[in-house]
Amino acid sequence: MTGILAIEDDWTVRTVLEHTLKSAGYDVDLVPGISDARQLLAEGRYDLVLLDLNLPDGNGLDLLRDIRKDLGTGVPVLVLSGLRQEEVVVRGLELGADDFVTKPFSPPELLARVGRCLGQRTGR
Amino acid sequence: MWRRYGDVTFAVIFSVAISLEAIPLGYLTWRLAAGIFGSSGGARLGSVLLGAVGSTTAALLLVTSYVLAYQHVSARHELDRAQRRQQWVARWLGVLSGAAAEPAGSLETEAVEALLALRETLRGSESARVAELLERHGAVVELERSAEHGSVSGRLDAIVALSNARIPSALMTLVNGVYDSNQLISVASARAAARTLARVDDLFDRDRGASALARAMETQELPYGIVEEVVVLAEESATSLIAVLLQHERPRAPTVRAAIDGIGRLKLLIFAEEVVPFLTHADDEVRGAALRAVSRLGFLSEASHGVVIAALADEVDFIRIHAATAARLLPPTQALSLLSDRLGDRSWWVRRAAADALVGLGPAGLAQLGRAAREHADRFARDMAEQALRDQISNLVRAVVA
Repeated sequence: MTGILAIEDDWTVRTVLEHTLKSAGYDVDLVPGISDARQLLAEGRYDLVLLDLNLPDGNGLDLLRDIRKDLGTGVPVLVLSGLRQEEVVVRGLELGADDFVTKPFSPPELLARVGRCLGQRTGR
Repeated sequence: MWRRYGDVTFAVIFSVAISLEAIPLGYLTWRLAAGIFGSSGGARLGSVLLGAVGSTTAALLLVTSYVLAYQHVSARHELDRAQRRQQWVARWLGVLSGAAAEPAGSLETEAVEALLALRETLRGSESARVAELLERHGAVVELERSAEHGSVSGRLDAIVALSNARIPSALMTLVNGVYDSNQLISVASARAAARTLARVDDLFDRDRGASALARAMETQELPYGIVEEVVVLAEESATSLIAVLLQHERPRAPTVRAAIDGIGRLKLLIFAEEVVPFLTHADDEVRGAALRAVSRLGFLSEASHGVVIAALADEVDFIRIHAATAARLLPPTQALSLLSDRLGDRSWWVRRAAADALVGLGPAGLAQLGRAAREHADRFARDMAEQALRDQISNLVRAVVA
């Protein structure tokens, strides 16, 4: 089963992500912060990372940089960002984000973007 | 928010504790005063004093015990509520996906809060269905009632909930709240109305709502900061709101300024021509806002070139600052020359704005800064040009290293 790690601290968004992704047949792990995410990412068993930017223990962009540099995985990263964060979006793309989902989001759109990211990975 | 629930209990406990202290102390004071005039025995006073100390101790114990017990109980209470909300979110998601049946009848508080949280989180058709659920279960009507009546804190809670819900049918209730004599309610209602207006799709209803909100803000004379926030919060509906604010018969300067700043912040190019007359407005703040908007929009009509050039020599410092930023939109040769002159302005801030504008002009601007650093007649201009170039080098180094 395709494994997804979702890093998100807001409990409503977490519940929506879990419900949406599990309903679509994905295996989802949810963590509320960067430190928990680092431990799980080190195991290297995820096919996709869903990353929120404003986390209680740091900025998601720092984790994105580490994923691309130190953690070294080619895992696709889909960033969850707020409205009107153009600069952040540009910075995220520079750091290697594969795509963005803007909050508030539509579950079908989320699933479409997840599917596209995973498809791109398979196609590589 | 540790006393969110139990204000009345806390007030009663506190009154009892104060009484326990005040009554014996009052009696003691009376007896001591009588003693000064020679009619009281020492032994009796001693026992009263002991009683006063004892009752004060009891009072302090009572208050401390209550506070500690309250902290414990409220923490548990909040945790239970959060868990119930989370359960409701999962259940509502099931309802939205057709996997679970919709609950019947009126909803408990946590169920409504879960729907409000989902309305904030979801977009598109799912969000619209959440709004339908809120309306169908009577939550919106209940919130509207709470927003209009009751204690200030209860009304504010309901207004914030309506702000999160952003249900178009509640718009006029929120607009009416702007007229409230309590400024907290008035401002919260204006913000909530703006967020709700952002979700009004029907263009006729949108214009009508924008007009009513603008009228309410003008009547209440809401300050610049609030009006600007309202304009930005209106998102897609900001154009309707700005149009009404600017077309008002005699708009207040803070309102005009807020509307123009909204045009710039939201980059509403559709209003580019509307900004032009305000470049020569009598109010300095309005002129400054118009120049800011021109810079943010990145559009300066040829007919307005002279106004910006004149503003570069304005007596007011902040007008020259905004004019320097806008001057990069002038024809390049003219912009380079005028901004180079401003590097020698008497205000450090204008010199800095001119230097930044030259940087924004790219290689030609950087070359002009280089020339100014070497050849400008004004020593301060040379220093500023050199500083701006140094900053560019460090920015480049940072970008390369990152």
